[in-house]
Amino acid sequence: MDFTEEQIKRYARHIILPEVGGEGQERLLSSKVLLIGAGGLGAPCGLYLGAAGIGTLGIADFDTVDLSNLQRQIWHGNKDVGRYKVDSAKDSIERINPDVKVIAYKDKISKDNIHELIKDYDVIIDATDNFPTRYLINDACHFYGKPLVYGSIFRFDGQATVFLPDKGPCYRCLFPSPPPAGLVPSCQEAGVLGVLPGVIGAIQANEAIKIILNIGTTLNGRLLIYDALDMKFTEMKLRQDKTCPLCGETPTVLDLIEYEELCEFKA
Amino acid sequence: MAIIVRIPTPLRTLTGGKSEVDASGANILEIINDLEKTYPGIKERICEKNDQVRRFVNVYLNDEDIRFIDNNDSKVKDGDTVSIIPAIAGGASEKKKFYLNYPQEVIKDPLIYLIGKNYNVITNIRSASISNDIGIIAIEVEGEPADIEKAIKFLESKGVSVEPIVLDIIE
Repeated sequence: MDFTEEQIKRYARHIILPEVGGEGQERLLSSKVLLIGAGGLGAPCGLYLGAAGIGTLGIADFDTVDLSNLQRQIWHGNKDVGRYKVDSAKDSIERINPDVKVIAYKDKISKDNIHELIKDYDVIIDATDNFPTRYLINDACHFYGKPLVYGSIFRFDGQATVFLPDKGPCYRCLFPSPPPAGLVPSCQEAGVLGVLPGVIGAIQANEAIKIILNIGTTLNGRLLIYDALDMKFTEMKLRQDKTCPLCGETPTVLDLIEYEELCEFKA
Repeated sequence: MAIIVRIPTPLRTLTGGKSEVDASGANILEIINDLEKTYPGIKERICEKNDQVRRFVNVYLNDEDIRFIDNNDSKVKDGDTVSIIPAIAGGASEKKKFYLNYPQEVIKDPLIYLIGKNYNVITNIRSASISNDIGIIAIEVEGEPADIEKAIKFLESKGVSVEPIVLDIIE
């Protein structure tokens, strides 16, 4: 790939880094990243990936922009309220960097379409906001061998890690099953500090770029915990669980399942 | 002996907002029982009835998951830090508006009460037209996106048609 003059200028601060260089920037420009979720985590993550010159950025979200999203979902603006989040996200990325080919997916992801969705991408980013989709993405990335960058937030707490196929733990090693609805904090207790997904989403973009460039040490095998109130980053060891229902020695999850039911509230 | 226990934000309602508390005990279970004495209600958020740590909560002794040490019997010593890390999925609550159109046979059923109770959503009826054979309600539902979705599925399973209100006509 030959850089245009504009590209050399645009990516100069990357190219000058020995860890990236011209070769690394070319690699970014030919890479494909799928961002699932165009909300609080997706916005900062997608903006940085777009600015970095990720060649193809898939963005999947079926939701539309609500005024209450704008406190944290910084790639949407006032005029985007009511539009599909992926359309608004696409406009933002294209405004920042015309090198990026943005593919918007408006279908709700399910066990029936996830393989088609992820199969052409090099790295998958979980920027979703609910347990059924998180388990679905985890299982699909395991079955189809895709690196997965995980980020999650709640109120003032953030978590991030990297799951690699055939190596180290998966999300089910960390949390074998989702909480039943009654034990998830109710919406009166919910809410989120707007900056929190900004911090975690940026970390996810950072990890995706490192995976593509094969530089540094990713969060694989480590769970990063961020406490925005105390401003503390802590790190926990994340080990592969021999009894993991997905990637353990005797797996019981052998194919994609109905994830809504997995999380269904049984009264 | 004093052990520092780090409390995640969802459980801080039980510790008076404190992010770190002291507890004493020789192993993890003793620490959790000691926490329960000071902050009643916290144990059932962490453990099943048989004392096992719930599958969507992890307890770490320093930086190691207790499942990879000795579970509840993992020995703790002075100066150790125990961290409670629950699964979190994101989800700032959302407000959505819908028209509910009730089929005649369920008009008398307390469906809105049931979605509030079973799916933790806050419901607010903004306008309604209800008679013996017609039930149309414009409703605002606030909650975690996944919970709102479950509530809608439940209503649909009862035969109620649920149409999103696209324009902001009830503000």
